[in-house]
Amino acid sequence: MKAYSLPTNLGGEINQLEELINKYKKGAASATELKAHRVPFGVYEQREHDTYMVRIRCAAGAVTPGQFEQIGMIASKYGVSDLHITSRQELQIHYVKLDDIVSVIRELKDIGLATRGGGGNTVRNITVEGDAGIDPQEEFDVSPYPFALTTRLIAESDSWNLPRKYKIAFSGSSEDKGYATIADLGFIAKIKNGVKGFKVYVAGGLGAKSAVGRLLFDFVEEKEVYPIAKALKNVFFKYGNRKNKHAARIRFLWDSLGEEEFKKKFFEEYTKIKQEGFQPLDAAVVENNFSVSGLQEEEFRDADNFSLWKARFVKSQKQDGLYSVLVPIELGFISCQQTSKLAQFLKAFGDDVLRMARGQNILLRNMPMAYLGNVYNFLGGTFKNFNQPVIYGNILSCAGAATCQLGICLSRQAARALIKDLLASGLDLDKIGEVKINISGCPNSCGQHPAADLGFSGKVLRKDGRLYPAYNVFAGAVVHDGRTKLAEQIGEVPARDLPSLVKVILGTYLSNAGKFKSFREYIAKEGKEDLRQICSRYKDIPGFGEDKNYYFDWDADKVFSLADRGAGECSAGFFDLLEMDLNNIKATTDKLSLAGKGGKQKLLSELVFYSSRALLIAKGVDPKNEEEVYEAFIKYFIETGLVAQHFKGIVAAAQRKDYPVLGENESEAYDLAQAIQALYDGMDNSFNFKAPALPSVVRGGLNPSQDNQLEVKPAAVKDFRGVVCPLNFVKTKVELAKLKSGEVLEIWLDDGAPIENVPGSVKAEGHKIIAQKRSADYWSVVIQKK
Amino acid sequence: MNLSEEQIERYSRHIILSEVGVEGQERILAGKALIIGLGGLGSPAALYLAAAGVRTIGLVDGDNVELSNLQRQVIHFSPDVGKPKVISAQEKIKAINPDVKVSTYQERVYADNIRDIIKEYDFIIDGTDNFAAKFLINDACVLAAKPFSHGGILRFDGQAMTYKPGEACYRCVFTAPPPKGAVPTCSQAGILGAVAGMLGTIQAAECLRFLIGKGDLLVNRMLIFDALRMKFREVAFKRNPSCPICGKNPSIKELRDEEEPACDLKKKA
Repeated sequence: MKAYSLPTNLGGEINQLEELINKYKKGAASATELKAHRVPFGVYEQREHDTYMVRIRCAAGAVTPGQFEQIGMIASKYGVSDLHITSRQELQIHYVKLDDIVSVIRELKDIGLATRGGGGNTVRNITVEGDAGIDPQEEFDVSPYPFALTTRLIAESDSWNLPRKYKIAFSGSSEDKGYATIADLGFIAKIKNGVKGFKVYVAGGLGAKSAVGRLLFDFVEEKEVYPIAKALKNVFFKYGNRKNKHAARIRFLWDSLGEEEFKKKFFEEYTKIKQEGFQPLDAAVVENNFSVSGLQEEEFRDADNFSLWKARFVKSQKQDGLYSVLVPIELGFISCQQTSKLAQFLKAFGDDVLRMARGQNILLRNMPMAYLGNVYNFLGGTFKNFNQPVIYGNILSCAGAATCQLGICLSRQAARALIKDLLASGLDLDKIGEVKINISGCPNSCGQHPAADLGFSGKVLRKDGRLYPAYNVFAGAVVHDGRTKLAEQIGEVPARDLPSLVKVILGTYLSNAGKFKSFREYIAKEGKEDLRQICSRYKDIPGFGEDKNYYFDWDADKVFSLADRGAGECSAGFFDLLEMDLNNIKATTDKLSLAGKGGKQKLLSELVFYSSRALLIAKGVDPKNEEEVYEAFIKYFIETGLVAQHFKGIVAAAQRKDYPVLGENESEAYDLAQAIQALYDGMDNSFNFKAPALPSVVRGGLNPSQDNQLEVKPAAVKDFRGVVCPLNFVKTKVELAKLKSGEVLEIWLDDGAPIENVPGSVKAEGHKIIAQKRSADYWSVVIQKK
Repeated sequence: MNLSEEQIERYSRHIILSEVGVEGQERILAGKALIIGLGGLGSPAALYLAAAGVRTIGLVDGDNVELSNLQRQVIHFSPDVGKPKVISAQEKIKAINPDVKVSTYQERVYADNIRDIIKEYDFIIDGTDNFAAKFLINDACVLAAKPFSHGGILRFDGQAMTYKPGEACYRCVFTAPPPKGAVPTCSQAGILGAVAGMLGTIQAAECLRFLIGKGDLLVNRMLIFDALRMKFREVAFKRNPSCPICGKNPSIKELRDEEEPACDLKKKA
């Protein structure tokens, strides 16, 4: 079996990466420049300085035992003890040193594997569930298509420079085990009049704003796979949003263009490709047969456990006499020693015996009945937890706040705590059967919570002014051709109580198990209501003085805090916190409409307080007391012009608790609340605010005579979009230093913090802002050097 | 000089300061500083100068790292015990900022070598622990017209002043070393490690401000603090016309070594 072929230019691209790393080490290339090249190469920097993660492309999750062994050896050689299996069926080597990156990538290339496209705005790993080709329910084996499509797309240079990532998935049947209905592009196998083909979905995907894929073709013949994938790539390349990466995936393009326009553009490309002619994919059939060499059949050691294991993990394939075996891998971590032992064991069984399964587990396939004893004995000696109830391997989490910049909660630690608790719970876990429990550390769905039976996404809650880690609770996802539905938010739970909540809902299901075929059916029928009630039991948490545990995340040695997250690094999880105060504003406004004169003044002071506090978190401020709330609000919202100056009076009155003044200025308090709501409505996913009613051109008021001669030719124009604060200001200073007094510099800045801060800082240094113009979603600022 | 992208990022928090800016950072990147003594004062000073990007840092110290040094000499780490201090410090400087050039002088300063050592540098930091060296550094800098920062610490107390050619020197204030035994040595009296850090950092800030040419240096005034009560005060003074080295009729015309070191902090037990 050959999964995919490497493009001929890969060697040259690796040489370029090597050159850049050398330049970086000498100081001749910046960290940003290096990042722009290494990420599309599947190399991410980890939180621990100077260590990197290398992600290996495994189309359809397939590697041969020989490759698997070599990956483990390469990792060990460079001092790494574990591999990680991702939820997109790739293998990752963590903690690689800068000096070793190129060697690792070259050695992987030597065994036919690429890391190109492991990250960044590229064609990502093309996936299909590990049982493709052996599943008795499937229409036909779809794995040849991800293999061949990978070979084709990774040889095209425009695959590395897309507006955002491009994820393609295949499924062999309507069951959609490959998640084709929640991918950027998804193919579901269909046979029509004896012809192999696919139903095609586009513009789906999981993220901060998840979406179910939209139907593009009810049926196309299998030879259309390439022109469709290519046409969609062209549309994305040409029309995708390159400025705001938070709204760039194909599903956002679909929404912004509208279905009709999107399809029009798609078919333009599609027709063009077909007219120009294309080479069809070389989708060679993958043979699934058994060929055991040099291995004596073994007896399994203990009959009871063997039967239990078979019931849990062994499934008969569509090929007579062959079986697949799922090896559960806790949260996807496998040691290099295990890798090497497993690879050596599997070599006797041939090449196509190993696939990474989407649940971060390993699927062995094409195992003959007579050798199941060998498999059982081998697994028992190598994988401690190879025979736990299946739920053990079905718990999935993202990396979480321990290593992810966007993370809010320590999701992986929560998952470990949950696993430990479940195994010790005494619940009859085998009776529960298949339950997908997915945990994301923030609302970005890297832990795939919207596709779970029971999903969690990290958030922040507040009790008596103190923050604590918590999760939104989701349930009831369906992934199936034509019926896909994202999990619904049911309630919320403190992080501390997550394991307990899972135990209670599973226990409740067990006590009703006779009534339902599966946990999934239970959730669809009665479980959601039960879950809602269970969530409400966890609503009140003890105060900090009573039980500090609630204020620590799982395995954390510090009290939970947002202090080390700056504005812009905030993730979507903070929306909850913002909305809490917006609800407070609404509730207070409602109370005010009923209140008599006496109670009004205090309520008005509360209204101003909630209004002042609501959006502070978006600026990375986590005020400790009321005083700090008002100070920060004045500093970040009034003084920056986001909120009108005249509100300073009412804020000051609330700060002084000057009830009579508040009472006299009732409408001003309502106006403030409205202004805050308006700002929130206009806020984007990166917490950038649109300044209210900005004129299209703001002229520096310093020298009105210049109004007529605005067309000053700048000595230089510099694009600082994408440059974060304060580096954009620093670079502006560097550019100004090159100019003579009186000369003019034009800079381009992003909306949000950059435009709010840089012009002010430039002015404070004595330079003149001649003009400030908004064009599309960025700003042009014209500066005259002092 | 054109700053590279990496330099812009590395020194961004300096460049943002209106008093530093691109020009000031370029001056730092062209500056040459000498640190005499890599103990409690020299350690933090060297770290900050390296981080700031000073082009050349000279390091003078004849001693090896000892276990008792580690409580305050923060540039040296536990595995460095036994290693020459200049080598240990050089390694850390390179790790912080590979752009910095380091020159090492594994020796003590004496009347017969100090002139050659200081002549290459723009600014000298006195991080020594004995009066003989302090007076020698003062005399050498006055004669060679080199600015330097004086610093002294004991128990919880610290003092610092900066000499600039033409202004008051250390001998203008203290004509000669105190009699032997009048001032206890650090090993007798002890020193709070962080006090060394406070003062060494003040010295680094003097050096950086000298290089960028901004602000008021500790010239003609002595900054004195008591970190036990955390009180700072200043004593102003003027150039002393009868100063034995910079006065009208100086009695010291060439360098000589003072009496034996008054601080025996490093004496082997």
